[in-house]
Amino acid sequence: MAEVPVGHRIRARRHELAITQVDLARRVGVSPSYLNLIEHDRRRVGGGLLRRLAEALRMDQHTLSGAEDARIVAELAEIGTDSVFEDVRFDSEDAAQLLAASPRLTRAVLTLYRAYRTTLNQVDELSERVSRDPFLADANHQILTLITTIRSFSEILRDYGDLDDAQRRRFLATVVDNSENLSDLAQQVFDFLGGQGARRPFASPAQEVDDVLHDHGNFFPDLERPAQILRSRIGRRSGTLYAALIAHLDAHHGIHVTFRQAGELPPGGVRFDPEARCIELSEALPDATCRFQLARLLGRLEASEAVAGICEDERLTSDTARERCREAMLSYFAGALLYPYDTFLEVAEGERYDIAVLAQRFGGSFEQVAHRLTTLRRPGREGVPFHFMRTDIAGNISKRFSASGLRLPRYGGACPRWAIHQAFLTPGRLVRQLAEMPDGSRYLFVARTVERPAPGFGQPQSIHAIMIGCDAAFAARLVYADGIGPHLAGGTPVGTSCPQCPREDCAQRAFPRAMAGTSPEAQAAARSAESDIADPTK
Amino acid sequence: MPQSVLVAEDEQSIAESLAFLMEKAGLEVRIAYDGTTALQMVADSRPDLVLLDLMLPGQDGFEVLKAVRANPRWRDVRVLILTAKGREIDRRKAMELGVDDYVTKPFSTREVVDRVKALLPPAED
Repeated sequence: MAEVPVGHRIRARRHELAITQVDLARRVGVSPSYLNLIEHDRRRVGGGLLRRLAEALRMDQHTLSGAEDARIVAELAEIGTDSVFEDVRFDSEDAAQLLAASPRLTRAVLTLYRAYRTTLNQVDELSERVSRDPFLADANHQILTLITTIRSFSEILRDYGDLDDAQRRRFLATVVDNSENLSDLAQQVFDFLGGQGARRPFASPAQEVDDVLHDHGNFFPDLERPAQILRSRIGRRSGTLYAALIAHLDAHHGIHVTFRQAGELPPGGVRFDPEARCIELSEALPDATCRFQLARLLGRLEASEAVAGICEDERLTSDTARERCREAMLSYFAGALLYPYDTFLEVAEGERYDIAVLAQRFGGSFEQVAHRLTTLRRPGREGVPFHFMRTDIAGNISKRFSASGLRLPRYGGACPRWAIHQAFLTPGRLVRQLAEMPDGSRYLFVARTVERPAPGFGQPQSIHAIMIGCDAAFAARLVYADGIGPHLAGGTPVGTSCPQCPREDCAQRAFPRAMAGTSPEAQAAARSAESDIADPTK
Repeated sequence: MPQSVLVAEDEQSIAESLAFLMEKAGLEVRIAYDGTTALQMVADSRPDLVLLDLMLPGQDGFEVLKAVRANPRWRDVRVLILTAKGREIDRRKAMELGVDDYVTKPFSTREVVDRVKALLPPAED
């Protein structure tokens, strides 16, 4: 193993203590030039001199001698042999040099490597679990059985001309029945492997909540009912709904509402203290947001059982996922309370889903209205099936739901050509877009940024873009389709996200297509996309 | 006397198609839908060939194969495995246990008929 350099530690500690080289040399009884050689790792140190140096520098001799460093160098040298470093092999000599140059960076490299190994292990474990998944194993066997039957009887029908009518009919019926079963099974497998709302072997808490929302069609009658009852009770009071919410909290729950300066509250601008029976709201919040927060609190107080029942869903596998779902359900309740289903749907249809008009009519915000529109899914009395998503300017998607048939990306950012990203170019203004997916399906997108007012000058402000949209088949029911053209022809060519998009010629492509195949053309396109990223002048 | 074949297959429709093919090939056919019955039928009627599925209820195909090969009186019984288990390890295991041929599902009916014919020596009249 390489000698661990000690010089850098002596020099660093000497600087820390503000001792000159000459002074330290005198204290340990060597010449300044010899100490200089030691500090530059050109002389080895040991025995009495090491002990005297440690004393003079008020350091543990072990630390100074580098026992810990030796371990780090050994570990670093070991990882240097990992195949991941195939092209940049390094040995203990390099490791020692790196440590001498920057102990912190060296530790960072080790931390990174350990994280990499942990991730690799997790990937192995996940692959193992997928391969053992009982659903897939069973489906695999069933598919082969069905195909075997279909193939056998098809070949018999082809090869044996002397079948009687009864036989021929029976064999054909078998082929048809088994084909139908195969179709059903194939659908189940597709759902399992990533269709929205399907059971998946591994999902993040956010994905699990997405699945629950999707499987309920983003409609929760158990929350609609209590919200409707509460609204009728609150609605009898005079004055604005906002005032009525405050009065109801006070009268029925003994909770009072107070307003505080933004800086005194958590970033969301709201804090509920159950002991003190008090909800504190930031002065910076707009009225619509304050109302929504009060409505959420009422959900917590009056619909807790319904919320808890929904959160018992077995697809939610962690406390984090259940908590996330609870938050989503409280917001759902608030939406149902502030925008009562039947009234809201009627006005929405009447106003052709003009979000600005609906926000004015119901005293709400763009985001609240857009979100509530996606929940109008009561069987038999449904609104237009929408998708909904929210992203920040860096492309982090924080809300997503799709009933429109549009596939929203689960991992990473959405297609850069989507209106939701363009909305950031014109903050506060509505952007509409007729978008055409690679499979030819077309959607009407409506997007706008929404911002939370800054608490004061120079304070950071949060801004998001919201997009809702529907299949072009429903577009005529929306005010946003007006003027696009009589047949809604054409449309911006878009995809779901770069890795999933086959549009190789897209100038906005950020990543090569995943699993693009191995054709020379596909590889060339992938390389070209990569070089575009690498070359900032393009 | 025609040569005989035992179809040991739990999927009724696949068993039916195999029975049809074997009859057309001039063989006498019996069907067993589970492993235990299959072994009983081998004992009762000593077929010339067994078309054996591996994933049978009761005793599975490997156990049936093992039992057939363990009995000297059935040494001449040919066994052709027809299975959805396409993994190399399953094929090796079957070979180790003395199977005569191995076809994975979904199979070609012509191929199965050809392989059966290849396994059965011309009948002695």
